[in-house]
Amino acid sequence: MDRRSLLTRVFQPHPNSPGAAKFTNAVLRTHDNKEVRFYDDLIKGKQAVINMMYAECHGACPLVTTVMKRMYRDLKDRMGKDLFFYSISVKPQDDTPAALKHYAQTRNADLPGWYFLTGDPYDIETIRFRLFSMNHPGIDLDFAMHSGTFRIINDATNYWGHAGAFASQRNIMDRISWADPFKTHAEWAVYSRNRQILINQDIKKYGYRRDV
Amino acid sequence: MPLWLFLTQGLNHRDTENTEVAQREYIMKLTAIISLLGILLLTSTATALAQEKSCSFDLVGTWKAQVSTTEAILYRFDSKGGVTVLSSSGAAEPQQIAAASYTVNNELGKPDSVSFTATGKNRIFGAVRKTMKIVSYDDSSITCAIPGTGTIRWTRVDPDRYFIVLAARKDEFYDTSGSAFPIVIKLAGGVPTIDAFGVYLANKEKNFGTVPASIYKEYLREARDDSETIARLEINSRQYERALKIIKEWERRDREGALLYTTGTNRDNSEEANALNNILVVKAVAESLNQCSQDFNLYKLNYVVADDWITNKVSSPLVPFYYFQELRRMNEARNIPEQKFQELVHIPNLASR
Repeated sequence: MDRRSLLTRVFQPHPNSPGAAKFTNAVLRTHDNKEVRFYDDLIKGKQAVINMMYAECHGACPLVTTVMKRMYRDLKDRMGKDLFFYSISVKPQDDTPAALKHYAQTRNADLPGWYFLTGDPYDIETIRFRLFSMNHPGIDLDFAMHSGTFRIINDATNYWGHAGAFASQRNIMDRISWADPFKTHAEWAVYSRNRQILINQDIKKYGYRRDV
Repeated sequence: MPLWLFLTQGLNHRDTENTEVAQREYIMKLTAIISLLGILLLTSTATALAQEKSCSFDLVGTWKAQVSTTEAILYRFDSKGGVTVLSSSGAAEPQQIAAASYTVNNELGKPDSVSFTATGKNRIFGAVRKTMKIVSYDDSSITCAIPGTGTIRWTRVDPDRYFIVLAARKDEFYDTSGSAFPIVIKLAGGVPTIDAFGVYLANKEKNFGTVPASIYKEYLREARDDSETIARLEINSRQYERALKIIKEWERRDREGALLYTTGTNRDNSEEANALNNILVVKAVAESLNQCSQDFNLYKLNYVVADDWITNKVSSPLVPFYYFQELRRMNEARNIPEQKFQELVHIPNLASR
C-alpha cells in the first residue's frame, strides 16, 4: 500500500456489518485523552484486536500486554494503518486517560495504532457484553473471564473471531490472519506454502505439529 | 501423581535406549505443566479481578443516638456540609441544641472519620472542633467512637417506608415460563411510588421492559397456587435506592437499545436474549439488598453446580421463577402477609383475579 492510498483511505464496512447497533457508538476516551466513538472511529471498516484490562491489575493484564507487544512487533508494518489494538478498561471508574497513559508508558506499549480506552461504566459494560458475551450469565458477569481472551474483528469483511491470550504466538497470529482482508488465490497459495514449511520444521524438530 | 514424580519419570526415561522419544515426552510434559501453572495463575487473577461492590457511605439524612429510654439526640446532616443537633425527649418536639459544619475524611478510599466544627457559640460533643472515628457502618446504622464520650451507635431515622415484591409465574408462555419481575415501592406520606422491570405478559405476548401499573397491580396480592410465587419484604431506604438504580439503568438500556444480551434476528433469539437479560435484572436487584450487610438470606445464583441447583436444572426463562421461590422460602419469616401489606400499601382499584 503506497503513501497516497494510505492518506486517502476510506474504511468501508462490510454490507452485512452489524454496525453501531451491535458495537454501540459509545463515546470513549483514549489514553491520550482524545474522545472517540466506538463504532464510527474505532471499528468501522477496520481490523482490530480487542482485550479487556485495567491499570491497577497485577495479574493477567500485564502478561496479556506483553503478549500484545510481541504481536505488535510482528505486525508493526500494518499497525495504525489497517490494523489496530484496543485495550479497554473494565474499571473505567478508576482508570482515567492519565492512568492508562501511565500504564502504557511504563510497559512500553504507548505505540501508534494501539489505544487504551476508558469511558462511562454503563457503555463499557455494554461493549464488554457485546464483544465477549458467551450467553451465560455465570461467565459473563465475571469480567475476569474475559481478561485472557482477544476478540478479533474485521468490520470490512464482517469477520468475528477470538484467540486465547495465552495461546502460542503463532496460534494468535494465525487467528489474526484469518481476519485479514480477503486474499487472492495467489496470496492464499503463498500463505499455505509458508505455513506448510513451518509445520514441516516442527515435525522435523519435535516429531509433531505444534501451535496449530 | 505428584509433580516431582511426573517430572522425574521423564528424566529417568532419558536413560533408556530411545533418548529422542524420551526427550520429546519430557518436553510435552513440561509444556503441560507450564500450561497448568498458567491456568492456575489465571484463576488466581480471576479472584482478584472479581467485581467489587462496596457499601457506599452516605451521612446525609437524620441519625438518632438513644441516650436513655426516653431521651435521644438527633443529628440532621445536609448535603452542603452542615449538621444540626437536636434533643428529643418523649413525645415533645425536638429542640435544636447545636449546629456545626462537617467533613467526611477518607483514608485509602474508605470513610475513616468525620470532623465537626461548631458554628458561632455552639459546641459539638463539648468542643468547638471534634473528630469522630467511624468504627463500622451499614445501610441503617453507624457505630462511631468519640474521644471523651466513648462508642455510640447511630440509627438512621426515615419517615418513609420501603418494600420490595418479587413476583413470578410459570406456565404462562408456550415454554412453560411466565412473568417475572421485581417491584420496588416507596411509601412517602402514605402515597406509594412503584417501579417494576422484567418479563411480563401483555397483549398475549411476552414482553421485556418496564412493567405497566395495570400488570404489576395484579401481583400485589397473595400467590394463587404453585404456579405463582410472590415475596413481599420491607427494606430500608438505601436498599430501595440501590434496587431502584438497577431498575432505572435497565429502563435506560431498554430505551437506548443497549441491552446486554442482544436481540437476535428472529423471534426465538430475541426471547432467549431477554430471558438472559431478566436473569441479570433479578440477580442484581436481589443481591443489591445485601450489599452493605447480610440482611436477607440470599440464594446463590452463581451457576456453580455445588451452590446453585436452579441454573443447573432449569431452563433460562424459568430461572427467575425458581429464584424468587427460593428467596421467598429462605426469608419466609420476613414475608409480609397479604392483609398487612394491603393495609400498608393502599393501592386503589386493585385488579381482581
